[in-house]
Amino acid sequence: MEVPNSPSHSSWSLESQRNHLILGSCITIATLLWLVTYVQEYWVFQAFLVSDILVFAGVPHSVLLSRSGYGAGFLGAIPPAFLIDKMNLPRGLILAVVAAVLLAMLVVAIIPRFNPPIKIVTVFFLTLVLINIAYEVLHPEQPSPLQVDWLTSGIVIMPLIALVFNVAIFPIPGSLSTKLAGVLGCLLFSVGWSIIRFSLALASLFYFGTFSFMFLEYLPGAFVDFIYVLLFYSLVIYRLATWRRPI
Amino acid sequence: MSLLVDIAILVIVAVVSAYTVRHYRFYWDRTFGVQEKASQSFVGAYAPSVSIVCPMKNEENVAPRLLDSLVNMDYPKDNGRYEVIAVDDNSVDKTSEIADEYARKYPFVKAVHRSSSPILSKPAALNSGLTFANNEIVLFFDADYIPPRDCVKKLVAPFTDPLVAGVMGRVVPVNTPEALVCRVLELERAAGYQVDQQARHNLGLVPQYGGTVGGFRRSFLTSQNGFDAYHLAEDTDITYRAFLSGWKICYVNGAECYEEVVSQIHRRGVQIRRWGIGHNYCLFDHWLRTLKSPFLTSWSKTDGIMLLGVYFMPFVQLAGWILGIYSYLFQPPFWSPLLFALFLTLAYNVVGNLALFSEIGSASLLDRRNRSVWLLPLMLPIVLYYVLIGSRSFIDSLSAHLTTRRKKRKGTAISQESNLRRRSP
Repeated sequence: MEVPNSPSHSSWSLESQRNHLILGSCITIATLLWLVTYVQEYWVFQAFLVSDILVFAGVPHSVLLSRSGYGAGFLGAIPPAFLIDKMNLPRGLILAVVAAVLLAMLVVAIIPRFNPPIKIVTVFFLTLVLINIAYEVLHPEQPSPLQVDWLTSGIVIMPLIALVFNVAIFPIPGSLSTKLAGVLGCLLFSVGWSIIRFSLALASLFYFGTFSFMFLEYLPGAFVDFIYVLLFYSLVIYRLATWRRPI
Repeated sequence: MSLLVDIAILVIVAVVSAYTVRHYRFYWDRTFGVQEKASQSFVGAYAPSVSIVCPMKNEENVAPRLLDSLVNMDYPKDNGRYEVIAVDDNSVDKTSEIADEYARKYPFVKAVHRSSSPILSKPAALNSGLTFANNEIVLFFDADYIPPRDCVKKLVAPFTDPLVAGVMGRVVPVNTPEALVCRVLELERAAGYQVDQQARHNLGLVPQYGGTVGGFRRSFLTSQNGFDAYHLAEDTDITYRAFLSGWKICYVNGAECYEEVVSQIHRRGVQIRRWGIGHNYCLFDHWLRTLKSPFLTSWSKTDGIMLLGVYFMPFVQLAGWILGIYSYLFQPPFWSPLLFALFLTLAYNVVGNLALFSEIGSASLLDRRNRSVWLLPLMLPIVLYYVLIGSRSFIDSLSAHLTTRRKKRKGTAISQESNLRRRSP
């Protein structure tokens, strides 16, 4: 084991880049203002894209778009509604899935080869499956409020991303283009991800019923958002750490 | 019922948000603020007499390395100004012989053997070492640590301030190439010391003595009757006893000491559980005193309470998840604040959790560990693991606290420690 001869870690601190911080704040405010003003238009745009993907996936559906909210801002906006024939899972299949999940949990829990975090993460996600099965049984109706929920989450995440980058990235000394690329890349990814995950969830609603819709939609939703924000954050921090100001 | 659940969720979100603000405050201060150097301008010029106590229990593999580092320390050793006390805590391996050998070889090394003590715990071993310490300042190093040659000089410098009771140095893992777990722990340590401890020191809050790579004035320890021999977190306990008596503890970021971190995740889990139980005992013992303390400012009290609650938070988080699942299953589709709850979930995950991770990012940046940042997403399952371990330790400590009186609880703590020690090779 190699022990350093002298301390290699320092007590220095960084000089915050105030002009970048101000720019980051402007981006956050602009994102928030854009969201508040154009949410209805964004939802309509998103609905067309989702509809195209559903046609590609062979999912018959109808989209209800409201015109009443146009120009009314965030509070007056009415999200689009997708009407899809939901698959009703047979009780026998539900019981079989529950049995399979419980068996998988038991196997993961007793096999000593798995590390505790692996066991815990696996059991965590299998528990989510069980919760979603319970939801299917308790709420067999169309989960339209959760569509609204998800459409809303797809837009609420955007100012949050801008805020996180504003506080944790923009003040750090480094290339402005890296920071801008990071925040814009993360925002674009979130737009793309929202559309894809919503399309996937609706398609799975048609093919597999509420069970998989719930699994894709609600519980891991915010968690997955966090994972990609963290990935973009790591990427930008790495680029900033290796950045050297040109002499 | 649903109203109660909504209120409970809101309270949990408020508590978590308070910790989020605290993390961002620390991140900002450490990354961009003016750094308080803890009297480091006195390094070399100020050399009080120092006793170094090293508790050792079955440490034959690492004891010679530590003792070698200490005997070669760059510190004046004339007139008894420097002494090393190796405390063999009833070891069954060759630790005892190693301590004796160094004591024979070097006049400033003492070997203390605890073979018939009624209490076999680390704080009891520290107290035994303390009774043989003759010098003004007493520093402590665990056997698996490797202090560099200038470590002691840097650690004693803050004692130029007469209000300083104790110091704490920085712990840096050195066996990171050994396993992925070690690399992840390195990130944790970096955030904890480089950012959290330094920020608390900068802001005049409550820097924590971490049980090793630090020390106290002997007069202070004597006035407190030493460490609580029955405590699982004697370090946190003595930290609060110092602050509640009007003393200060300084964190010295430049006084680095190297350590081997555990390389297996289940051993880390045992560590976390032991610390969690001990830390929660401190929460039960000190929260009210911290709140009432005439020596602490309101910000210090807030930080002190929040620091006491760090091993309570995993339980809070778990309770939040369970209540969220309850709401999800039994209150939809009309459970009232759908949008609001969604916003809170997102805000907590993205802004709240990233506050913690931004500290790690900042520490990696300040330490110039550029590639380590790539391991950040790996910490997610580890955090999930800690939530469960931390919740279990909170339930254990709370049940011990509620069902037994304090004296009996001490017995419970000892049996819990021996159980955990048995499980930790």
